[in-house]
Amino acid sequence: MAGQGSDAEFDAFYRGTARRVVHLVYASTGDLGLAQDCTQEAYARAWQQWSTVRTHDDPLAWVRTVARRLAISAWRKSSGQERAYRRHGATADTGPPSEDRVAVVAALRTLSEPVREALTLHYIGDLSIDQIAHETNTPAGTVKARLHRGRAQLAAALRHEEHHHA
Amino acid sequence: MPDIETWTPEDDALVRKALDSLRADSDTVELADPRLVRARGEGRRRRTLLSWTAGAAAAAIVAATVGYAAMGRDEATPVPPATRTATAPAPTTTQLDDLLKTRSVLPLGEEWQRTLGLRAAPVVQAQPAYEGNLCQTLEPGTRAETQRVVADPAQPDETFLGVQTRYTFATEAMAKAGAETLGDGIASCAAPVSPRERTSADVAIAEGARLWSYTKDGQTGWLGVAQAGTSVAWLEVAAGTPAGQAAAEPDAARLVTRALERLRAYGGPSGPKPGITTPPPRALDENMPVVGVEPLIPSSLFVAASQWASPALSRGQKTYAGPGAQEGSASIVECETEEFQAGVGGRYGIVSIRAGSGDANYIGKQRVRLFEDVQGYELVQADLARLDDLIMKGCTSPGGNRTTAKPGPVQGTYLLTTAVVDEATGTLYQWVGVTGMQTEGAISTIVFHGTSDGQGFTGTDQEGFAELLRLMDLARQK
Repeated sequence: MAGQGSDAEFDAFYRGTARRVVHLVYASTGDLGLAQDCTQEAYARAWQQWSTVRTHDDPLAWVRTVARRLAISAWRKSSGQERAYRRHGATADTGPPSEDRVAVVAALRTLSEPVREALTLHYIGDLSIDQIAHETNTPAGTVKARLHRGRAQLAAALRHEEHHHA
Repeated sequence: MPDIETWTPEDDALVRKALDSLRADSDTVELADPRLVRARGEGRRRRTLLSWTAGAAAAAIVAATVGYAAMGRDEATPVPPATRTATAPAPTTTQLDDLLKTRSVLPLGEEWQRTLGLRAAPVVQAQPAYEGNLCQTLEPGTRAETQRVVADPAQPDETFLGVQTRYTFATEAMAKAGAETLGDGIASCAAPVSPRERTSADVAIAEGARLWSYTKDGQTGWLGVAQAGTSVAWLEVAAGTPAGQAAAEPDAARLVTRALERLRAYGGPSGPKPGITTPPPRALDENMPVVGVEPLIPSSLFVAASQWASPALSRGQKTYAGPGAQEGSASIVECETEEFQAGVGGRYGIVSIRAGSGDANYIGKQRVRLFEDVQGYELVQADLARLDDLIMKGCTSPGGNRTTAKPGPVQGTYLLTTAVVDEATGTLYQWVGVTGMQTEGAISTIVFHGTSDGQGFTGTDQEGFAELLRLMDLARQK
């Protein structure tokens, strides 16, 4: 699959970027265990095709997209039953989020999936509108509209959550 | 709903702060060791939740036309011809009884072959990284081992046939409860498949074993749970594998029944053990010199030197531990290199065993490697897979000695044959056994040798493997 040099290169890439992918997927789904598992799976796939992935301009974009798609698919299908599949390392390894972060997750869940995707890529992935458009295969105008709408919606939802828990 | 133009800088700051706050949670996540991630990449297959959902992901990806349209998709790989015959004649009782004499708590590849009617025995190998089981909501007890069953180890994803996992419990009552928990999980499973239990009214299945069928992509797969004594086995015969047709109900029932029989024979305290004439001996602790890295692994984790003795292995002589291992070297098996060992990690220790009174009469060695990471189990599985890969490849020494390997009757057992040409001529034989141990994160490699001119072990291949399995049984108890 790859030589020792590739091992070290991949390991450095993984160590340097994996936590950012977990953060992004967590914000997209609100499920930390899922984020952890999808991230690991995405990097495993990257390693499977490392000779190709490493030549991309931005290998992280590759991993990020795979992780998001895995998570979104799982999230769509998700139920209490299915969540239990991801038992190892998920819930046992991660403590419960704080009440504030529960509120953030709840607010994020009020957004549609594409809007949430645009927001997380912009605010957590630090991607520009054009980059999000490229990565999500969406017209830039649509991304811009989603960001505008999402920003306002999420802010409103956060304030609502804040008020609700006050 | 707010108008898209109504957001304010305060909104922007609030959203940024909120999303950033989630970083605190993600920072608490324990990232897997990159070696495990690579092992998962190498051993990835399509059967877990993520793999199931990846199917949907791949479909979405295919639909895209630009950007990262092809990301994460499996590369097309030629699929080998079907390995399963159209009809599976029931194996004779004698055939299966003979196999039961080979020590293994989970079914052997040959038993998968005979119960399911496969054309060739599949390979049962340690799962490089545990990925979860279909429709399993909880893991009761202690996961002792997980094995995948593949028709072709070179193409594990494409020729995946099934998986078997074993759990151990402190008491038989706990094992029964654990088996019920697993069964309840399967019974309540609604997605991605909805298994249906097959009872003794449907198919011949022994008490203590349960069987469920499920359908995926029009093909039938099987889930089985068996409990005996303090052990529980979980089995899946995959549906829709390109390696063969779906297994028939009586075949799947036979396999789960065989798993039950193996648990009764080798799975821990319980009642009678049909087919087994002598119970496995209990492992002793002895004070022995251990060579390795500081802090040294305690000698209690090694097979007691006195228990190496046997008529076949030590020719009836007593066996002792001696400082036979080379300081600073972790290699005890042909084809292992220092470079390879250095990359594995964990602490290791080696105990060398000699027979009789001679100082130099060493007959074998045991190396214990201890991974003290939180993912000790996964590291052990990865190391098992790595050793399997290394040993089965064979090697040629700088002096031109060529070593080849053949697998033994049980996963993790090998006979290495080295054609010696550098300092002498002849043939060196090494019986090598690799196994996980009761101590979490511990893996044991046992080796003893013989030569074509009658030094060391002089029995047949079969007798050599029998001795090896005996020592591995003792090592596993540690």
